[in-house]
Amino acid sequence: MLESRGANFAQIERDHVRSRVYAAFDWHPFDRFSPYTPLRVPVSEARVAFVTTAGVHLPEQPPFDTAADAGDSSWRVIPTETPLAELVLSHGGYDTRRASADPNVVLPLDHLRSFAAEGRIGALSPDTYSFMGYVADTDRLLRDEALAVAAFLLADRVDLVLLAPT
Amino acid sequence: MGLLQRALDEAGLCTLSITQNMEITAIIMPSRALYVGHPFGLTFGDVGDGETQRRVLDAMLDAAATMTHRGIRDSGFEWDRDDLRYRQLRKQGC
Repeated sequence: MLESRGANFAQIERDHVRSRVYAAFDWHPFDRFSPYTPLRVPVSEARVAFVTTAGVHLPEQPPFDTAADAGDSSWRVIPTETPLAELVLSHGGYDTRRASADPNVVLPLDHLRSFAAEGRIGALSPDTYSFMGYVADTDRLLRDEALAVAAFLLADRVDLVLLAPT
Repeated sequence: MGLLQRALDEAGLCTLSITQNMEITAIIMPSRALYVGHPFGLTFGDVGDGETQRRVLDAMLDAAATMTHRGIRDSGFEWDRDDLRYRQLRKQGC
């Protein structure tokens, strides 16, 4: 594994953000895992939602703020049935050209829809939630934005939330 | 991603995430994560590689069903076609 070759990426990333973007940045460490809620139904019966931090949004939605030093903790709702070709990306933390060519590399909605049609999962949530992965000032994310998305997911009665970074 | 997952965990939702870096996830400690050693921006696999993309997604679903305690599972997916991930981890390329 590359991480075991001597480089500490967590330290490299912290130093990179501090020196180039946001001097006050540091990781928010925890001393215990967050609670674990078991999957209560078989995957083949589960209602599945997807959360991405790829900076994906609809063309008519405002782009994520890639210029803010402290990042952007806002989020967008994308109808899960949206054709991937209609999505656009705004993210300063990775090269979005590959994901623009094939959004399934970060947001595999084509495959999720196939899994639902094939019975691998029970159903897809009608909404997908998109964040932009660079959020150096996490207070608002934790205080407001994440709780708002959690409320929507609970109201949607999803059985499983899959989250994928970039 | 880990902080967001923690908030959803605290709300009582069943979650499973991908991590592309175990060191950061070990700091944030969300409930359950699946390690995938792909480059940033190619989380599920290469452009046009639908087979790998499906396999990674399938591994997420399998982990969601079979990980009965908290922590990080190694999916075994690694990237060996070029040094993109190696350069990304050292901030030498994106």
